[in-house]
Order: sequence, then structure tokens, then C-alpha cells
Amino acid sequence: MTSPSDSSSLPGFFRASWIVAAKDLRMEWRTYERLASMALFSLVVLVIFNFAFDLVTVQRIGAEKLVPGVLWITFAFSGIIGFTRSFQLEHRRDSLVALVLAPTDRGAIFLGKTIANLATVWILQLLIVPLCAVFFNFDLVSVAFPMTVVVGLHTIGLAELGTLFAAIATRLGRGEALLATLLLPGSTPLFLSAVKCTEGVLRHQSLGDLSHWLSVATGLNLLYLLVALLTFEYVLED
Amino acid sequence: METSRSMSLWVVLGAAIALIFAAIYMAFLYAPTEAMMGPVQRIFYFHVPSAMVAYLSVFVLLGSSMAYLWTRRRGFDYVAVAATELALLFCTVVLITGPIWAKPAWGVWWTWEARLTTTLVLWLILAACLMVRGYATERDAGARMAAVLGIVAALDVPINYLAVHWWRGQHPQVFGPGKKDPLAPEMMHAFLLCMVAFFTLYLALLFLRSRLAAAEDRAQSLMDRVRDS
Amino acid sequence: MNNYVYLFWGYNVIWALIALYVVFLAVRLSRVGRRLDRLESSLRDSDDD
Repeated sequence: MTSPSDSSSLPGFFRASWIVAAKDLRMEWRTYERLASMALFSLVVLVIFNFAFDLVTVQRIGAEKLVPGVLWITFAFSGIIGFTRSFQLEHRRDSLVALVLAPTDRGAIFLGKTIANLATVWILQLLIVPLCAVFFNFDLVSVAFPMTVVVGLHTIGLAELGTLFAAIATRLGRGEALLATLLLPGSTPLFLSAVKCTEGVLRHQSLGDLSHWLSVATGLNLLYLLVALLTFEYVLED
Repeated sequence: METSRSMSLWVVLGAAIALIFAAIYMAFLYAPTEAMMGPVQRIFYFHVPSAMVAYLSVFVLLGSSMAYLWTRRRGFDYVAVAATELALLFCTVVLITGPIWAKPAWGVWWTWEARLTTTLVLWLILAACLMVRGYATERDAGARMAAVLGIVAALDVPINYLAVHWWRGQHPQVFGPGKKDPLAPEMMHAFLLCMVAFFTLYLALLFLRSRLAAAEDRAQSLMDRVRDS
Repeated sequence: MNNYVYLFWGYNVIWALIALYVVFLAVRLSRVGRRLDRLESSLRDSDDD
């Protein structure tokens, strides 16, 4: 099934991942379909949040308390849309079967898909975070670097879990609803850390002050990656 | 073979029932009333063992899920289903008795403190595990997906305890480093007996539920045979 | 006094949930038992034919 040289050599594994990632990103680059729907959805969610909390409440509570939750809920839900799409297209065209039959480690497929999903969400965040700064009136420029680190780091874990659960949801013939039910509870520790760190950044704490939660997030990222790499072949198999 | 398995099941079930009666006696009559919280503190004797059993079940789920994915032997999947349902059952007990204790003790039904919150999250993941089994059209696919989710759910449990430590929640820390004599000796006896009673009950229910899963699987394959013949 | 009400309901909830689950198991076990007997006898009959 897997040719010995490909499955045992590390360069083969990473090359295969890169091929999968590049394929997904190239498809996205051609149509922007996934990114566009994620971006529009995020925008809608941000606007709804502004209706949900009136101006007085926002001013009274303050951006540092409100924005982390708003941001991460937005990322979670638009991420769910993106992660589902990453498998659905292949599922519809049955090209998932071709992917599964390819002579490569299934873990490489997972890594490739995760990289593509991660890149897509990161691009989305480049749009959403500044927009959020505008809507909720906080100074992004002064905290740009720590914000980038915090958001970027936690999104890695989100993409890892999202890709794994999206594969499960697609294999069961379900979509966003099941993915949301799986991903949101499953990534709770990551969300705790994300919101804590984002709040810290908005309070102008340095990355050093947040080092504890950042190491938690890094640990979680590694844990999720390990679990997903080990279990992905069971999800994909026929 | 069948009868000896049935025998051990009846023995465990009988022991569980006897221990539960003993546990109720110990919790209500033997243990003294707690000075600060009053009678409602007695919920502790069943609330904490339920939580312990729920977490134990999640680890049984982890082991059986990994064993199933590794060996594909149905027996492990039967245990996994049983462990999922029982973990969900005891999590439900914890989540309902917790607030019932919390209201007189802390004045609120629910606080989003770490241990309660992560037990709720665990409940959600376990419910999703069962849902996934229901969604699958092929038995093996459902078992596999549920096994993967079971592994993820199990990883939530230690993170739960870590979260409590880091968030310094208001959950009563009865046992912990530096706490001398957290419970009076009679309370400790009652608590230990309740733990044993709950673990025995869990074992009995685990056997029963696994048997049920095996029987239903056998009925399904027989039905396929009848249809084919 | 109020304290006892909470205690009362707390215990009721625990045992109600566990009892319900045991009943659920018992019902399903007897149902599958009957189903198995039916299937086994019909298989035996078709083997005999």
C-alpha cells in the first residue's frame, strides 16, 4: 500500500505534506471562494457583536475585556466554515478516495491540509483583527507584535483540531453543525489560553508576562498535532 | 463459559447493591454533620465518587479506544461504548449534584469556575461521541470515529485538573498538599466506602452495558445471516 | 431546614439517574435476548430445511 521508501523517509513525509498544502492553497488562490465566504461571515459576526453589546456597555466594560471573546468566537466560527470546505470539495468529487489511495503516510495528508487551513485562517485574521480594532476602538499598532504572536500561535492549535474533526464530520457525511459540536468543546483549553493571552496583550502586558499561557498553548499545539498524526489514518480509511 | 461469566456479573451486581446500602448508611447516619455547611455537605459523599467514576470511565474509554484502533477486535468497541455512556451518566450526576450543593454552600447555582466548566465540556464531548456513533452508516466507521473522539475526550481530563490549578478556582479543595486532616476520621471512612461502592457499581454497569453491546452486535449479524439465507 | 431540601433532591437526582439507566439497560437486554432467541430459532429452522 505504501511504498517503503516514501513512508519511512522523513523528507518524503514533508514533501507529501507540502504537495497537499500547495494543491489546496493553489485551488484557493484561483477562486478565493473559501476565503471570501469566511471573510464575509466574520464581518457579519463582528457586526452582530456590535449590536449584541450596546455602546454604553462596550465603553463601560472596555475593549480589553470584550475584544478577546469577540475575536476568538469569530475565528472559531469562520474557521469552522473554512475547515469544513477543505474536505467537502474533495468529498463531493470523490477525490478524497484518490488522496487516501496515494502511496503516502496519511499523517502527511493531515499535515498538508492543516498547513493550508492555517494559512487561510491567518490571512483572514490579517483582515479581521484590524477591523475589530476599528469597530471596538482599541489601539492595535502599539500591540501589533504581541498580538500577532498570540493570535498566530493559538490559531495553529485551532487549525490542527479543526482539520481532524472536519475530516471526521465529512467522513460521516455531515458538515458544519457536527464540526462545531466537536471542535468547540474539544478546543476549550486552547480557547481559555487564547482569550487570556489576547486580554493580556490588550492590557499592554509583554509576551514575557504571558509566557506561562504561551507555553500552555505551545504544549497544546504539540499535543493536538501528535494525536491527529497518530489517529488521522483511522479517520480516512475506508 | 457463559454461566461463569453470568455468575461473576451477578456477584459484582450483588456486591454493588450491598455496598450502596452500606454507603447510604455511612453517608447519612455514620458520618457526623459537617460544622460549616451543615447537612447538605453529605452530597459530597456521592458527588466526588461520581466524579472519580466519570473520570475513570473516560480513561477506560481511552484504553479501549486505543486498543480497538490497534487490534480492531469488537470486544474493545463494546467496552468503549459502555465506557462512553457511563462516563456521560456519571458526568450528568456530577453536573446536577454540583449546583445542588453549590447553591446552599456558595449562594449561586453555577459558577464558571474551572472544574465545573471542564466537566461540562467533557460532557459535551462525550455526548458528541455518542452522536457520532449514531450518525455513522457503517458500524466500523462509527466505531473508529468514536474511538478517535474518545481519545480526545480522555485528553481533556488531565487538562481539567491543570486548569483548576492555574485558574485557582473556588472549588473546595478538600484533598491537597499541605492540608492536614481535611476530613474527620468517620467522614473519611464514609467517603472511602462510598468510593468503593461507586467503583463496584461502575464495574457492574460496565459489564452489563458491554454485554448488551455484544448481544446487539450478535443479533445484527444473525439478522444479516437470516436475510442472506 | 432548607439545607435538608437540597440534600433530599441531591440524593434523589443521583439515584433517579442511575435507576433510569439500569432500567434502560434491563429493557434493552430483554429485548435483544428475545430478538436473539427468535433469530437463532429461525436460523435453525432454515438449516433444517
